[in-house]
Amino acid sequence: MMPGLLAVAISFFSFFVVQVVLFNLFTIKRRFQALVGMWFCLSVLYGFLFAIFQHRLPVNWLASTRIETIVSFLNGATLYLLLFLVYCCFYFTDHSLTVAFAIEFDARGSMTRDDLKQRFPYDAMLEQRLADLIANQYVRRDGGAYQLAPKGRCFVAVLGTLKNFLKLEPGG
Amino acid sequence: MTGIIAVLITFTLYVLTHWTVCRYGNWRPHVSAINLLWLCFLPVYGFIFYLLSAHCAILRVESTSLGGIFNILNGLLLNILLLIGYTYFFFLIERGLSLRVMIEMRRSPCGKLTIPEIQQVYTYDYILDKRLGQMFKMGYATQDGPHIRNTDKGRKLAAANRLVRKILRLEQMMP
Repeated sequence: MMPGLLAVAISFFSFFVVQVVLFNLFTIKRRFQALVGMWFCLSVLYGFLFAIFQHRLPVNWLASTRIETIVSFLNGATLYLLLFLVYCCFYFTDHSLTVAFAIEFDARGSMTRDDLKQRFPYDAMLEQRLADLIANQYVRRDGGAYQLAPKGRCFVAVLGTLKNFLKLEPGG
Repeated sequence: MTGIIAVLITFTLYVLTHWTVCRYGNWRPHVSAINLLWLCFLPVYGFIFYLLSAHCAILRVESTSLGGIFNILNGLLLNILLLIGYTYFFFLIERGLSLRVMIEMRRSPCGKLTIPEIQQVYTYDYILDKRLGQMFKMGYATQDGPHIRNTDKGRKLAAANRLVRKILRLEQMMP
């Protein structure tokens, strides 16, 4: 396990540092694509570090069979993927209404429901979401109305069914 | 490898149990159900790890050796990361604004909706009730007449998020 764990720790730390530096230096519009691109590029570093640790670490820290070595590599790769997904969960809290409300309450002391409606107008909020959905090809515009694109239909079929099965409707 | 297999079995059992609770029970708030149930499954992880390491020849590992301890901790780390990912996924389904809008589009008779129509079937008051209700229940905010303000916990949430946004240079998006 050790070569994979050490390699993933260093690779993910590098990803974090590179991301913070780049996002502070440049204005990046397509943030998710940029994050995926950086993560993908640094996955090469993971493979490289794994190979180095596999040769440099003490023998009793290494896997004893070929299958164990492969499992160790895949385990590290899975951790690297999961760390990225978890990082995205935290990174994209800028879309969270609850967090936005908490920040506004903090800045203004207190707010009424009407203040919230003025600060976060529903029209603008929906327009922003629909623009995101159109850009990601989940929804398309048809005159003044919006309808699901094929990708959106698949997405809704899977998640909508699960939502219905878990009795989470109407939700949102 | 023992830890990985133990965690895969445990987490699958955990998800199936949670889905059963969601479908047939009424445990609220969801976040408590997710976290408490996960804690209940930690001993299950230990038990499955013990069973595999003691009774499965290929997965035999000495739990007190360095390799064994790393194996257990690696499994735990995977378990924690899976929990965070699952929590995010669950709330994406339960509370996702975009998903709800798309579900409403699919439900509409002609398969399309204008913004005013979306606002009619998915009202802003409903969104506010749900978010603010959750904030009150979780102790992030409190209401004094019409005025809503942060509690200490809410202030910490806001401060932590402001710090993260500053470091990661995140702008305040229209949510």
